[in-house]
Parts: sequence; C-alpha cells; structure tokens
Amino acid sequence: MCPLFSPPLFMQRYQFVVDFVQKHEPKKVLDLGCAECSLLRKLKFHGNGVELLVGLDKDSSVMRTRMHSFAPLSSDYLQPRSGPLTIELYQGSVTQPDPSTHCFDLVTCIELIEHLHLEEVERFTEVLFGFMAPSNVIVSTPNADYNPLLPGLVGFRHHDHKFEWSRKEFQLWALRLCDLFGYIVSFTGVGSPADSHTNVGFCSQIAVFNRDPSRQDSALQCRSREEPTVYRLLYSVVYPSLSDNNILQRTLVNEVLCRAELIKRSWLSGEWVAKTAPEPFMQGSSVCVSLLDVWACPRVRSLCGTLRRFTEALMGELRVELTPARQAIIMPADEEEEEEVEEDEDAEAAGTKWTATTATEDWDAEMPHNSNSNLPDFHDA
Amino acid sequence: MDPNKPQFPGAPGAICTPDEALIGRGRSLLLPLGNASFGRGRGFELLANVPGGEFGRGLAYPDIEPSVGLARGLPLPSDDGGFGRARGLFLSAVQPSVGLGRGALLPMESSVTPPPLGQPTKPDLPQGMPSLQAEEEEVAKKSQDQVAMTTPGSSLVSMFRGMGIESSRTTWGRGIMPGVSRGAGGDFGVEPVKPQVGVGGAIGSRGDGLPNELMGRGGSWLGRGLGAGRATIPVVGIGRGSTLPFMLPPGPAAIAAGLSPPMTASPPKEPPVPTEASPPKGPLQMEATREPLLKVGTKGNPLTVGSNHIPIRCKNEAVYQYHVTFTPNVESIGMRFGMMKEHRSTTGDVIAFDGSILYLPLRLNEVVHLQSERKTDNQEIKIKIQMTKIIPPNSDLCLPFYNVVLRRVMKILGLKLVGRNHYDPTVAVILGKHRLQVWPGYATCIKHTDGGLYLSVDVTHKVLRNDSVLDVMHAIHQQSRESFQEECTKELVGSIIITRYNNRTYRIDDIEWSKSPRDTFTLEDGTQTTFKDYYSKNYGITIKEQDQPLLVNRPKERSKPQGKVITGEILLLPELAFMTGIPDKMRKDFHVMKDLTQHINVGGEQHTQSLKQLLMKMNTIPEAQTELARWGLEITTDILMTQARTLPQETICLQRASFVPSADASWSREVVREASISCVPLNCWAIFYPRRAASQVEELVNAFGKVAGPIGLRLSRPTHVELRDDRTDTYIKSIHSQLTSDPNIQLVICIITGNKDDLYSAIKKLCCVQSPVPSQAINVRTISQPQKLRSIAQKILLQMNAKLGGELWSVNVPLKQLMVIGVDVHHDTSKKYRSVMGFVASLNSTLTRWYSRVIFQMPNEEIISGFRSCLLGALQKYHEQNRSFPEKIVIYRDGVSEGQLKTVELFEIPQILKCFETYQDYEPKLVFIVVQKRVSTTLYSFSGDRVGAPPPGTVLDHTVTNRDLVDFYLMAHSIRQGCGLPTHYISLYNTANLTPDHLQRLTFKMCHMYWNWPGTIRVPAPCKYAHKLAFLTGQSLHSEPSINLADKLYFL
Repeated sequence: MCPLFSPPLFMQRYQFVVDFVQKHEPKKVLDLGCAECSLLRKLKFHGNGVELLVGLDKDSSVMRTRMHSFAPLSSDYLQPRSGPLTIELYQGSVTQPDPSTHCFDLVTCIELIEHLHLEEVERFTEVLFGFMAPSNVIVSTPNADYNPLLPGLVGFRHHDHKFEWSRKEFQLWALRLCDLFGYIVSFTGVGSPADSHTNVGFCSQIAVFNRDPSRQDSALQCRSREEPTVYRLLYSVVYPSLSDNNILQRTLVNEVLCRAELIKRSWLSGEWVAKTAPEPFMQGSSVCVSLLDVWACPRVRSLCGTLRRFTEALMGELRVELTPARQAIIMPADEEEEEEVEEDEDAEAAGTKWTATTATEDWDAEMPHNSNSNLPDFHDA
Repeated sequence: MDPNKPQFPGAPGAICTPDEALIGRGRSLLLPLGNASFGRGRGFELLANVPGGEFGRGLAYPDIEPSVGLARGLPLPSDDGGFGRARGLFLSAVQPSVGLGRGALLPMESSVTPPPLGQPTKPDLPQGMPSLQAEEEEVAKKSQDQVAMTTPGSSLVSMFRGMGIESSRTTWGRGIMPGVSRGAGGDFGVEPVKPQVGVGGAIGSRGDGLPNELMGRGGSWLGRGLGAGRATIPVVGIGRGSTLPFMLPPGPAAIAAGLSPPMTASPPKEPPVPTEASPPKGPLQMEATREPLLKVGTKGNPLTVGSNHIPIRCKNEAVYQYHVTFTPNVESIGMRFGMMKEHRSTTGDVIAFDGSILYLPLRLNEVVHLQSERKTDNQEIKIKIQMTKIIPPNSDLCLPFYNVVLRRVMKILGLKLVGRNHYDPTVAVILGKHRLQVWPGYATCIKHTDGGLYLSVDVTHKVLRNDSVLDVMHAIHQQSRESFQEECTKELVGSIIITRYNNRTYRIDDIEWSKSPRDTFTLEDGTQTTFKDYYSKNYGITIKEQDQPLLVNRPKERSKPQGKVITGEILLLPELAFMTGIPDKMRKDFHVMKDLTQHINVGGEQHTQSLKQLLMKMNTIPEAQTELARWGLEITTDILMTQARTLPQETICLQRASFVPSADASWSREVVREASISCVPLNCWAIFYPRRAASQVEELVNAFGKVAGPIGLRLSRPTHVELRDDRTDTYIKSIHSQLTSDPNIQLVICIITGNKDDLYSAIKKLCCVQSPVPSQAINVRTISQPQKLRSIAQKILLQMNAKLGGELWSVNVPLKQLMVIGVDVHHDTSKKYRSVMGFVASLNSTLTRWYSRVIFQMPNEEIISGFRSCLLGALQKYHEQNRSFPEKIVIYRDGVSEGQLKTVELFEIPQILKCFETYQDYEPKLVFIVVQKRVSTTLYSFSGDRVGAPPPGTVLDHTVTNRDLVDFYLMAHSIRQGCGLPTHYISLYNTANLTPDHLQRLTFKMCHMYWNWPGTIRVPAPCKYAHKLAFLTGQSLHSEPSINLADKLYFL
C-alpha cells in the first residue's frame, strides 16, 4: 500500500484523540480494544491533565508485548510530575460490563466496532453507553463509502472486519443510541480524499458523543469506580507525583536542604550578599539560615505555594533542624577533615613473625616438560 | 594412554609447537574425569560439514551430490559463510540410533590419508582433512558465540553418539582459540598407525562402490562400515585416550545398531534428549560436551567462600534451533518478525528469533512449511522452518535470549534500567544537600562458566542528580560568567547523562554552542523538524528555554543487526537530560564523598542481603516466575558456595631482616624500622617552598634527618629555596635556574599550598620532560600536623628512595632469568588528549629494578601497537645489566576489556613474539596474562553468621571461571571497607609452561612489590607502576618523559 495519507491514517486517528484530550482535559480515559497500547502511550506523553489511563483488550498477549514500557522512567523519580498518573491494563471483553469501567471522562473505541459481530455491537452499545456511561465517547470505524477510492481493495479493509459501515449506517447507529442513552453526537473523521470534490466523506469516520446534560440520569451519577469483577488486571502502575504527600515532602526537604547549604557556604566564604532576607548567623558551631532566605528560592515556592504551608511542612520534619523560634534552619558547620586513625607508633612490632622462611623453592625445576635449554640433557650411557 | 605422550608419531616436530603443548595438558585432564565426554569436535565437524546440505543425510543420495567428499570439500567451507557455524552442530550431535560402526569412520579418515602426515609445518592435520584447517582458521576469526546453524550433515554428527560421546556440561565446539582447535584436530592424527587396519576393513565393507576419494562424504558411509566398525573401535580408543574404556561397553550393541540403523544404541549415560529409535537419516541430536581447560591449582589452604553467583536450573530438556527461510525472500527483518508472529499457533508463544535463526523450547517437525502474506504487495510468502540443532538448555547459544528474559524479569520486579544495570528508585538514598540520589541496584547477567549456568548478580549503585544539565549550566553561569563556555566544557564533557523522555544514557562528547532547540534536524523519513517541535510532538514536552546550546554525543561506529551503520552525532537538549555520576568537583569534596561512600561501599553482609532480597522477589513474584518458566529457567535461592584456597604467605625481604607479614598483609611498621634493600645516598637535593611554609619545611627536614637512619638512607641537608609567592611561574623559574646552576641535584622537593593541579602538572612537566630529575611534590597540609610528621616523613622518604632508584623490599620469586612486565593504559575522559600506555619491565633477578616507557595512542584505542619499541628497549637494558637476555618473560596486561581479548591475542601477542626475532637465536618463553580489575565477581567468606571478605591471597580457579580460558580470580589485597572484589587473571599465552599454581603464586608475589604501599595491592606491582606512569603522563605531562629517567620509578 503506498502511503495514501500522510501522516498515516492511524496516526491521524490518534492525533484526533490527543487533540480532543488536550482540549477537553478529561481526567480519566479508557481505551477499549487498546491492542498494543499505542494510543495510551501517546496519551501518557500528551495527555497533560490525565490522571487515570486504562486500556482494555481481550487479547492479553498483545497487550503484554510492550506493557512494561509504561513503567515510570528514571527521570520520573528524579523530578516527580506534579499531577498524579495511574495506568492500568485489563484483559476482558467490551461486551461484558465491569464495575471498574464506571466514571470515565472519556472512552475511546478506535477501529473497534467493525471487529465485532453485529449482535455483539448491540451488546457493546448497551455496555458502553448504558453501563459505563462515560461523559464522552469517541468511536472511529472505516467508512465504506470511501472504499472505492482505495486502490485494489476487494471486500473489507481487514480480514477480521465483520462489517464496514457507510456513513449513513454509522450515523443511524449513533443517533439511535443517543436517543436511547441520552447522548449528543457529532460526526467527523480523518483522511479526506485527495480529490476534495468527491463526496465520500473521510476514510475513517469518527463519532464524538457527549452525555446530554439535560438528560442526566441520577442513577448513573452516583456510581463510582470499583474493583474489577469480570476483567482481569494485567498491569498497574502509579507514577511518583507531587500529589503524593510523601514525595512532595521529600522533594521539598531536598530543595530546602540544598538551598540552605548553598546559602551557608556562600555566607561562610564571605560571598553572601545582603538581600532583603535576614542574614545567616552562628549558633554554637552551627550556621542558622533564615527560612525566609530559603523561601526566596523559586523551586521551594512552587512546591509549597504559601509561606505558611512551607513552614508547616518543615515543622516536625526530622531531616530539617529548626531553631526553637522556627525562624531558621540549623546547618552544622563543616567539620574539619577527618583523618584516618593514626597507627600506634609505639607498639613494638608485636604480632609480626620475624622469621626467615628456610624452604627455598625453584619453580624452574618444578615445571613439567620444561625444555629449558639451560638444563643439561641426560644421556643414556 | 599417557596423555602427555606425543600426539604425532608421524611428525615429532609437532610437539614443540606451543599449541601442542597446550593440548597435551588439556588432555591429561580427561583421565581423572574419566567421563569420556569430550567432543573432539574439530575433526568431526569437518565431516559433518562437508557433506553439505541435505545430501549428507545418508545413503540414499550418495551419488547425487557432486561436491561431496573431503577432498573436494575444501571449496565448500570457503564459500560458505556460515561454515564456522556448522561447527557447533557437530558438537551437538549425539545420535542414539547410530551404531558404533559409524564411529569407526574417523579412523577411516586417517587411513584414507595415509600416515606420512601432511606437511611438517602442520603436523596435526591428517591430509584427509585439508578443509579442517581452513575451517579452523575461520573459526579463529569468529567470535565464540556464533550461532550455529547448519543444515548440512546433521546425520553425520549423530554418529558420535555411537562412540559414546555424551552431552553434558560443556561444549567444545565454538570458536576456541586456534591453538586448541588445532590440537583437537591433532587428536585424529594420533591414530594413523593402527587405524590403518581397521579402516581398511571398513572401506572394504562398504562395498557400495563408493570410490575412495569420497572419503569425506561423511554421511554417505555412515552406518555402512559395520564390520569395520568393530575393527576400528580400539583404534578410536587410542585416539581418544582414556575415554574409550568408558565408552566401550555399548560397543557390541552399537555395532549391531550400525547394521540396522533404526535400532537404538544408547550409550551408558543418555543425554536428556528423547531417544526413541530414529530413522537412518538420523534426526538431530544434542550437543556434546568438551573438556575443561587445565587451570586448577592446589597450593594453599582450602577455604569455603561464597560468590555472587546463583546456580540456574534448566527444566527444559533441550532448546531447538531452526533455520527459517522466506521464499521469495523477505528483506525487512521487521516483516519477518511479523510473519513469524502470525504463526504462534505453530511455534508457541515463546520464541527467540533474529530474522533467520529461530530458537524454541519446543520440538517441531524436522521441517515445517508455513505460509504468510506480505502485506505490502499481497505476495504469498512460503516460510520454511528447518530444525538445525538441538542444544542443551545451558548452551551458550541460549544465553542471549536468556538474558533478554532476565532483563524482562528485572523490569517486572519494578527495577529501572539505567545504562546497563537495573536500579530501584523506591529505596533511593537521597542526599538533599548535594542534590544527589543514590539508587541501589543490580548488575545481572546469566553466564555459563566452568561450573555451569549461573545468574551473576552484582550489587551496584547509581548516583543520579536532581539537576538537569541546564540547571548545572545555570549554576556554572552564576559562578563564572566570563569563562562560562570553557567551564561548562570542563565540567560537562565526559559526563554521562540520562534523557528525561526515553531513559537512554549518553556521554557528552562536546557542546554545540552555536545551536539551539530552534535548529532543525532530519528525521529518518527525511523530513526536517526543529528540536522544539520534535519533543513537543513526540513526547508532549514543551521546551522552556529556547537559548540553550545542544549537547553532542558521538556514538562509536557500530552496525545494527539489520546492517544499518550508525554514525554521526546525536544532539541532545540540556534541559531534557539529567546528570549522572559524581561530578569531578564533588569528587574532590571530602564531605560529599564521605556521605556517598557510606552508601556505596557496602560490605559483604549487606551485599549478600540485597542479593537475597532480589532472589526472594524473583522467586515469589508470580509474573517473574512465569517469565523465567517460559524458557524453563529456575533460579535457585542460594548463592554459590565453593572451595577456594588461600595461597601460602610470602616472606618480605628487607636488607637484613625478612619476615612474614601479619594477617592483613601489611608491613608498614617493619619497613620504617629496618634498612631497605638498598638506598641511594641523598647528597644533593633542593627543597622549594613559598615563604609561609618555611616553618613546616624546617620541621620536615628535621624529621627526615631523624627517620632516615633506621631506613638506611644517608641524607645531607637540602638546599632551601624560598619562593616569594606561590605562583606556578615562580616555582618553575626557580626550579629551572637551580637545576641549571647545579646539575648534580638528585632530587627536587616542592611544597605546594592548596590543591593546585596546574602547578603540579607544571612541576612534573619540568622535572620529567624538560630537565629530567626525580621530583617530589608535597602538599603543605600533609606536613602541618606535628604529631603526624614523623610517620609522614617516613613515608615520603621511602617514596623518595624508590624514585631515586633505591630498592625497598622484595619477595623471593623462584624463577631464574625472569623479566616481569606490567602494562596499563590511561584514557583521558574528555578525549582531549591521546591515550597513554605505560610499560614497566623488571631488570634484575630480585625484580627490584624497573625500566619504564610510555607510548601514546589514538583516543580510546586500547590495543597497544607501540609495544615493540618498549619491549626492545627493556630487553636492551636487561642485557646491559645482566649480560644476557631473560629466558622467561611474564607480561601482566591491564586495561583489556572482555571484548578485546581476541584482539590482544591476535595482534598484541604476535607483535611481541615478532619482537624477539630481532635478536638472533633468541626465543624466550612468554607468559601473557590479562589483568581485569573491574569484574562483577565478588567473594564472601563466612565466620559464624557473619559475612566478610576473604583474607588476602584467596584464589578461586574453578566454577566461576571462564570455560574458554585459563583464568583465575585472586584477591591479593586486604579489604578494610566494602566487599571482597578479586582481580581476574587470564593466561592467554604460556609457553613457559607455568602451572596454574605457579601462575597464581607468581601473581600473588607480584602483588607484594608495590613500593608505595607497604602491603599487598589488588594488581601485580608492575601493573600498578604502569598505571601510575600512564596516569602521570596522560594527566600532567602530555608528552613522553625523558629517557634518562627510564630506569627509575620517578612516577611514584
């Protein structure tokens, strides 16, 4: 197949979802029929506000192939993200309801329905719109009207396709379910024909559903996400983020200590320039660095927001020692370089055996088949 | 049979060749082992290969294949790229159904090619096997983990089963050094005398009209020469030395089997291969084993040690290797993968596939035909999967994909890959003050050592920084605005960074100041994009700072499996890269390092604990278990316990006194109380110091006077030169004028204030290159504490004596006319300067006089090419001093990585041997030992419940050692902090016939001889000297030191 579309059509479909996510900022996104999780992977990078990314597919082996690439990278630990992110992968069928699918802001079904038999589509529609009942749904499927433009295509675009709908059929399905479950739909697509005059629509047709606010079903609203009962959890990972209080605290303490150390050093070396903040002072052998000085650091500010929360966070923190008035951090002054323990010079050479070994060795003689030319040969008389 | 008996009665000269010697010893091992299981591979596989393709398969086709036959076989190997691979095949073959009669064919071979064996130059080659030679050479070139893929001659291989060759632990076949392989070939040569008879019979009995010249045909005569078979058995026995007796029992049965091929003739110990009766064509059989090399010593006291190796059990019976062909050919590897994927129903989920060779834990039919459709053009592609080999599950061939499994397991355990190792950020130690994180982790790998299959786990730590490279640049900018770029280059180039978006590690080779994220680069598909857009589009990352320069990484040229060659530069964004490792500046900071080493330097106790934790996780997390089970791997829960030895203690000799050092192998007290072996009287020396150090200098000189007596050093008062300031220039000018005005100055001492690298370099440059004189730089801080001054003065005095050519102490080395050479290489991390090889050679019998040279090489070129001039210089000097050349030369070569061993063997050693030809009739014995300090093997010793480091002199020469090398691990130094890290020694070449005991003890002795440290050190002293010399030259001098200093240890 020559590249009919650039970027390739599947990329365009993903981009469509990414754009949607960036615009509407859903917090919880579920991808049905996620296969190798390419869309989820894209959303991991581009879905800024997404807090929960879930993939579902009936084929666990496909999901497994690159599943572990969802693990956080080293840098995620070095600079934790600010918002939380959890990624979960489930094995299960889209035609079966499972309580773990409640409450999603967005459910995507990219090139999924055409792989289902028509009667399965019925059940799937019921599960998706009736049971999961997410706020938004994106469904994409091949547009049969476009098929004549695909060179050399006989039958369906993929051997596993059970049907390929025309625009009319797709819209009929969509409008009927809107009516049934209370959604509003808009139709669009990706991959327009090269010849824009041809009125065949997009190569991939896409329906975007929004739950109709005027028909809020109160029963649906109160449902919350629960543990899966039918689906099987394959993979789950929680990213380190500042929304985790422990991580926030740890990150803050590091920033504070680092900042305080810098201030201490510059003050000790006499390079400290008096600013508005109070100057460090000595207390015993320690240097006390004012909290306000540390607070001046933009990194510290961005972590805490307010000075009050900043001071609160440092109280009761064992790694940071504060002055009794909680005005300053006590930093121990550099101790002098420690030297290794000096050897005991006076001790007589006790323990040492002043013996000369008598046994002398000669490895040359020990050597097997040494054809050492130096050694005299023995001749039989 | 006497294993040491010359192997080539027909060609006595053969014994003298070094290779032969090796073999002789190798074989003697068999006797004690007695289990007969060595795949004399070399010779055989020849047979296996020659028949070529399907034709080799048996009687049915003998006449079809014109190019069959040994004699003709020659072209085959040469034009068949995969020939070397075939070699493994043969090894693997153990055919239950093949009779002994087949075994006889070997002797048949030799008979065909009548005894006056070959040309005298290649005595080990029976003429019948010219192709053997060709093949061996090929093998020598190939790396040992070649993939074996042979279609041809599989049945042939199987014949050896009849001879009782068993598959067990080891395999001989793959690219062993030429020496060994040749020797193996030589084994065949042994037989010619007797076999004649038997073979004759065999030939006769063939009776199928195959002309004699078809000898090599291998397959075709299999199973034919039955009668012969019987006759030949004894012959075979002769050939194989001791093994035969063990093998013989099945003999008669086998003969019968030979007659009626389908019958099974199983040898006493069946390898774990299904042994059902197999058709005459003979299905593939499992690889046979090979004999271990002779490397085990006996001297010393046994000691139970643990090592960071965990035995792995293989539950699969075998791993099956297939060759996959696509017709019409499919170029794209990716597409090939895709097609194989479609046939999971046939292959199962567990596969290892590289595009043409497929490994499965599953036995398919010998040939499987499948079909796929090429998506791009709907072309039907026929896929043929043909079994080529059955390998034992612990074969080296499996290691690559076992290690893939292992990496996956580490990932499953939640460990993060940084560089090559896995780390656990959840238990990171965070040093907030320094913005550092220390991640504990593991360097793991599955390897096949002398003891079998092991998981080797090393506990490592990664230092990562919370700062991006951009943060670091900002910090530098705040400190030094004027020299910003220069400072950045100094601090950053050479550092390893880890990218934020894909977790890759890169080395910063350069900084591109003229570029910014707004610049463009070309993507693989040819389109242009800016860095900014690229990161935003692919990773959703918004670049915050538009005016940052770009970091440059220049990867080493290498080719990807698909044949794509990677060259050129990689440009990276400072904002998106984190620093790793300890920056140089911090390295000099005592406090940071103290904080760090506390976490990094774990003792044996902690080491074994974290090791056990990992094993626990591996064995309890079900997903990890499943992953391992895919290839039938089971990792046991306990670390390896084995017997090591502690070598006999050495006696240290001073001038009059000699003594055995205390348990920690240190003699710092003795060496300052007793006279050194020889001292150079210090009559004329000068001391340079800035005014403010005047009092310390006075104290020091007084202290020198007091401590010199016991050491035996006669000392005059030095010339004091007080400098008006401590500028580099002032030092250099005064030293220079002093040296010019008084050419008799023996030694220059400089008192330096503070840490001044530039000053140090300048002084060394002056005193080592321009005006050669031994020099000693002393930091004023070290002599500022009166209570320590005495011991400091003693140490300095000893060092000065060594620099002047004095001899401090020695140990007795009972080898006459010996020269010991140490070699090490220093690489400049910034790659700004050339690498430097340091070369140090002993000049006298007590190994207390040393000759040293340096050679510069291109950046990061490890393999030494300038060896010649150094060695010749050393020989010349030796001759001057001893009136003779050394009989034995032992070279300790440091700084060789695992991958370079081959190159060292093929280039460096021949270059050395060639050197000797310079002198007429000079053929010294050479021992070449590679010294590897950075190894992952750790040793623990146990006393009660406590885990500690084994005592100095602990040697381990089996189980964890390399199957292809004569090697050992020796821990010569005393461990105060941390873990018992032994040094790995590999004897690549040994014509001096030093036994393992000698090699080990000589090495241990040499570890006592480093005069800068009154105790044992990790490496032999000449290596350490060479290291010091290379370091000084590479770090400070940047040019060759004066030859006038070559016979002194001026670089100490």
